[in-house]
Amino acid sequence: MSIAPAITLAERVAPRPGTQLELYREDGPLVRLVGVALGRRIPVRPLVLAVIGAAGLFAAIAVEGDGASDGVVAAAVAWFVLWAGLSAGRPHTDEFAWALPGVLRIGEYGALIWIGAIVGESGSAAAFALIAALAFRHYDLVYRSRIQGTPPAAWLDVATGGWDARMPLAVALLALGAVPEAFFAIAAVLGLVLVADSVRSWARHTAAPVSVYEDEEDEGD
Amino acid sequence: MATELQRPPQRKPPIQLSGNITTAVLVATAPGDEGGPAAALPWEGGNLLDRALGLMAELGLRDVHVITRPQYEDALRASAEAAGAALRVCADPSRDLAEVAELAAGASGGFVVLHADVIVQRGALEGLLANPGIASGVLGAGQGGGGGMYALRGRLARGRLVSASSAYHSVSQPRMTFLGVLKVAARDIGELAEAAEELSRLMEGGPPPEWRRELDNRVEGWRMSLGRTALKAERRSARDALQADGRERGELPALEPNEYARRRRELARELPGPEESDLRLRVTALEQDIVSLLLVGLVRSKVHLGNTFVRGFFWTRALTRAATEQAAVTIHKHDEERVKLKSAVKGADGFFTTFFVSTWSRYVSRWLGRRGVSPNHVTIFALCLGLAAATAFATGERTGYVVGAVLVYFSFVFDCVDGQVARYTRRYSKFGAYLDSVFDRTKEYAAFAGLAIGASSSEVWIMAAAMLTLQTFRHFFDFSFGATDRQAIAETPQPSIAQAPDEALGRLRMKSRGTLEPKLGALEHREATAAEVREAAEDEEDNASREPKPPRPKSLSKRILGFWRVLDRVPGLIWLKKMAAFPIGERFAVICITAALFSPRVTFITLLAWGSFALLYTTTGRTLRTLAKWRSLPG
Repeated sequence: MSIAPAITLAERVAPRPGTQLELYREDGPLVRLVGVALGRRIPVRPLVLAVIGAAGLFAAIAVEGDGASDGVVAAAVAWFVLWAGLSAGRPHTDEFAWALPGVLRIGEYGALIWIGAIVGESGSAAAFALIAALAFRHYDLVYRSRIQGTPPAAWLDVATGGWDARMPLAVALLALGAVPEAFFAIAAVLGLVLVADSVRSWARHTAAPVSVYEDEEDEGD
Repeated sequence: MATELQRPPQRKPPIQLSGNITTAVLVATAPGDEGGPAAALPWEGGNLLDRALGLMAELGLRDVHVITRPQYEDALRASAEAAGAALRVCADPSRDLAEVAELAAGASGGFVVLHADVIVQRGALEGLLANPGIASGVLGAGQGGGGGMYALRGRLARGRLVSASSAYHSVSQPRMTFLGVLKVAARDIGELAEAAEELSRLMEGGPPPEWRRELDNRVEGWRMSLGRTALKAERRSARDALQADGRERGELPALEPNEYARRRRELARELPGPEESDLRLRVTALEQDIVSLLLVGLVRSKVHLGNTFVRGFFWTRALTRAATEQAAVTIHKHDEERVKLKSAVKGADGFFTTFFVSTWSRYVSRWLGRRGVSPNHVTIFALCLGLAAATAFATGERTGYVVGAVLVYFSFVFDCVDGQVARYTRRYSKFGAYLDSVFDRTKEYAAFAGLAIGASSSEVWIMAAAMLTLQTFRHFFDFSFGATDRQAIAETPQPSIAQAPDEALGRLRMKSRGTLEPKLGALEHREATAAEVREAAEDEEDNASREPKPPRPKSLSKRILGFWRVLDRVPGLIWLKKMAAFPIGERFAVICITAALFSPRVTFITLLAWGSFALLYTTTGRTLRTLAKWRSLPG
């Protein structure tokens, strides 16, 4: 019940984007509030911004590897979050905008793998678990909006924080030395919450009168 | 109850129709060759209308309306009454459309509108009416898909109908054939009423002059191509006569271009008897065809219309007694059960799925389907197998890897079976589609986790997570590319219903330049627009004096894509192209083989290498397509 006001606030202040593509970005409140406002002023294609962010992050991963210091990790992740966050500012209408959600996925998952690798074997396993839970979130976003016709509940956007909040959080956990345990715990909680929301939505949906979904081609097999 | 189904036909449970379809409108206004309506042509002791009404009853449709003309009323009344259908007698197409508008305006459910004289197997109708993936849509065939001469063309983009033709509307770059069965879901019924009303108004007192010209020009095109055929026949018999005289071959002098054109036009004016009456029948059938008019109306009102292909099922529109009798023989060559099973296998599967799974999985599907096993139970069973495989992998023992590999294979087989059972038994559901998609990912990623646990090394965990990332990354490229494509298609403006051609004529004119002779030949294979026919006829006059223009230079990306498509004709190469994209079957095959024979390390190295190549390959293709602005076109 303590999250109830936050839900309405989030929905009022940071409304969900209109297009499917922008929904697939899975931005959190931070980007929807700050990134959009700042990014609007930058006259550059959104994809270019996101690629600048990813290039910096992956350059750091390639150079520093699993010996990177916490400071380097923090700087590289901040760089990515900054640029990729700004990419939310302009409408995703240009012809290469379809590459954006993929770039955000690879940035987040890549950073998590890096953090896990720095910690060691248990860290890598924990990163895998966390990425698997996040993958459920991301696929669910697509499958439910496409098949059911309604994307997952809006409060999940706030509760899961978006990639923009999760990435700095992961860095903080690394700095605190909490990585394998905290990653496993977050993965477990996220998994439970996400599966519960999906089950709930289908229970509600199958009780509703039969409607139809738009047939898709065999993409995503 | 389930065992009752072992002897299948006749007592099948009624299927669940999607789109809340409650009403059938049968259009019985096309003339047959014997003076009466085509719907009254004899069929197995009754007539074609009896057959169509029987199908509607089998599909569970109770609210059935038959639209016909005053002069056909007597021929059809008995059939309609026997089936409890309402006969709606209308004087002309404008009244037909007004009738449909009225029915739709007062309707609470969805409609299926079809020609009463279409001869089609039930399975094909079920494929359209029961699939929840198609709210509103049509029964279609491929471009050369045996639509015959009474079927009209349309164009699809990402499975959505973006242009359709009628007697008075032309379609550019057609890529499919509309088979005269239109499904309109309850949610789109308001648009149907509006479109029918507008069409009725436009058709009042006969079609508008622009429409009339469109049809006249098209008929002229058919006439010219029939003239060409007649001229060829004439030349052939002249040559045969020469040869019969014992002279040398090739003696027959070639015709001067002008003489050729003159003779061809002459023959086109006075076609041989059967050709002339076929042409007449074709034109009158077109003039009565309100089903395709309604389809054009819906497409141009931006209603989302899907498409299901008739595939192996029998379909024809036979407006003559002879053709009906022919159909009565041919239809029995299409074993409906077998076609149904065959079409339960998805069309566009990859190499491994097609040759190592689908070859036998359909029989498992049939067995399960006949025993009433639900597709969702199969999906869950497949997940259990997948999780068991992951557990076996996690042991880290050689036996575990081998057992896991076998389980992974069967888990993938049942993953194919669930969809096949759903299609075979027509038990589609949205929840099933979701469950299938989510569990596919779960199984694959659980196998990664199992292998990584089995190997228990930091490096393998990193590779497993990297593969998960790569796969998600690729999927999001797919999803997003599809989403933008669909949005672009949805936002493309449609011309008004009153406009005959479906787009600006400039582009078409461009295409009709070039060498002349193949031009009219090509026109007979598709709907020629007024402009094309006119231009072709004009070109013909001064053909001898004009040099063919060089084709317009194409952009590099278009040329690469064109070449890439041509490669599809090389036998076997299409499979290689499919494998290059690393589809799900190939991914499971890699897990299966490398885990059983080698080690998790090898599995992940193979997956990552092949996956990266596939990423590069598909992204290059998409970038080219984006550059060429071909994205709105299928393929």
